[in-house]
Amino acid sequence: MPAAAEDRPGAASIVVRTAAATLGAYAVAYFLTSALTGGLFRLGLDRADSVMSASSIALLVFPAVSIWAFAERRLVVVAAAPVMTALILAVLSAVLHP
Amino acid sequence: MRKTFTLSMTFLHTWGGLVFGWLLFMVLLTGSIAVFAGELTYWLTPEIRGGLRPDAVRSMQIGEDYLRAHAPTSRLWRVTLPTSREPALKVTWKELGEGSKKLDPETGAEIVRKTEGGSFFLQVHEDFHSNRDKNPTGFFLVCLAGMAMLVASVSGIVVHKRIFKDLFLFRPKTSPHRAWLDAHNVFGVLALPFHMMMAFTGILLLYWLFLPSAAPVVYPGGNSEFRREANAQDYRQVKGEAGDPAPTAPLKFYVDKAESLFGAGRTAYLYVRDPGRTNAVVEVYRERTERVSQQVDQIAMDRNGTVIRSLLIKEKTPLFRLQSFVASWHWIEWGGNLARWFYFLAGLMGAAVTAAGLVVFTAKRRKGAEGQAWFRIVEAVNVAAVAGACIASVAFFWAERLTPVEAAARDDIPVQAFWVVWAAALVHAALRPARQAWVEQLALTALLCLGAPFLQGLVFRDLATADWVRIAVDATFIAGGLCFALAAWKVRTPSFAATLPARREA
Repeated sequence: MPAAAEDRPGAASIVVRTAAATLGAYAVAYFLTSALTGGLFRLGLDRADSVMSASSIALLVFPAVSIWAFAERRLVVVAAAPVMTALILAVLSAVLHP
Repeated sequence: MRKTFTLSMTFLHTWGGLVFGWLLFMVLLTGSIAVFAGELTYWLTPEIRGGLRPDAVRSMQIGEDYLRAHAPTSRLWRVTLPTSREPALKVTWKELGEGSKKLDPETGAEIVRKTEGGSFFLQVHEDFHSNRDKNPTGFFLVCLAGMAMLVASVSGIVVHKRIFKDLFLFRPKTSPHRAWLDAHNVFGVLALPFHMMMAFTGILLLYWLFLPSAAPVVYPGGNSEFRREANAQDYRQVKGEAGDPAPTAPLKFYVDKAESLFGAGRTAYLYVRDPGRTNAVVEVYRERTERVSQQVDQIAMDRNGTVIRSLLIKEKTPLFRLQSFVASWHWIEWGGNLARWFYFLAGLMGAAVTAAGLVVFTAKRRKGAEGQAWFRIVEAVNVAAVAGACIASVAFFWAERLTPVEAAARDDIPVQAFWVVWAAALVHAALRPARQAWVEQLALTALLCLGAPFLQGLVFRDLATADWVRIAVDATFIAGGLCFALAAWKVRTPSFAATLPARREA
């Protein structure tokens, strides 16, 4: 850890920011996995392969989103992802398994 | 969130590193130890004679005879053949009686000692020994720690601008925290690709559990249906009623048939569902020591030897093989001892990066924060997370060696010792000044490491019988003990001690 200028955030601030980035990024990855799986399967991919490739991609997206959330100050957007995830999953589920 | 990208990454690296570093050190330490899980189990089971060259056919016959004699009505058998790394024959049975035994692969004699052995460290590494099927909390914490490791690696490259330039610099006397920072950078850069690969592939091993949202989209039965289809694990679970009595052929018959499909002498283990019944199914699994593949070939046959299902890796889709290939980089069962030693040392370097990072955190903030409660807590947790985890790990081996073979719930005692010792290390770190706590805990780890091979005098037996696997474990304990002794000595000397407080803060 370098000697770059840092403020001294409170414990609550650190916990909230770390949790928002981690859980938000997880939610994005969670949503992305479902959407990608559905999309790849629709494109004609074998269903086991759809699951595998979508999950692998989402696992790379997870750290990228965490970093982006910190760097671009989008913690609120990322933290709201669980709600988006639940909604879109419900729609996807209704479409694919009516 | 800071004003520039670098400052944002500094915040992320610093605080994310601290929060997850405590977990990550344990994950990395136990993962490194688990590389030699088989050898450690062997080391912890002195009843298994050295120099065994078990014959697979004979071992299988011994296992089959044992199960027919001791578990004739059980509905599921498993026979795990001995290997050069773990030369005990293992038999397990479930449903209508349940048990598991290790047998001498040449004489069939029962090995009474019950031990988790080296696989304990594998379980701590995977889910903090919490049984992820019942309670996935530990598993998710490990996964998040792995993700944090990826994020810390990327943000670390941004934050430590000169890491590649400073790779060969080690300046213990230039500033109080410079030596720790140099150590953090050197260990981080040297094995950076390895650490990033391990963090990613570690989660990729169980992607369906970490991101369970994918399978339900295309499988109405969700993850369980996906796993059955992807891994063909249909027959190792007992379902429905058992059929009428009907003889099953000797296990060798099924193994020969399976090996005609995936290679002679390559069987690792097999399951028999409903043995001696009309609906009996035998499932034979191939070993993977010479293949870079997480998945293994599996052949399932009915009692007449007709193949009813097969999973041959070469017949799977390219994506399946790619995932299996990449995941096997983490699940190191290939490459022999050379690859295992590389993984062990590179894994320990990851643990060293984390430990040095945690020390740098406190060293940098000592002037401003010394005496504050939060800083004292961080210091105590740092000591317990690093030195305490090391003590607990070695204490596990001591407990394994010292617990009587006939003790009730014997295999639980070393596990409990591990957690109790770790908790005690935290209490000790909270009660003692940080510098003394570091010195005392590192010195204790050194003593425990140096003493472990000499417990019950087994090192002398290993030397007398030229049992090189056990001698290598003994030697590694001694080398580790010397390293910890050196670390304890360095921490108590003034140049290093400048980064740690001499006295407890008021």
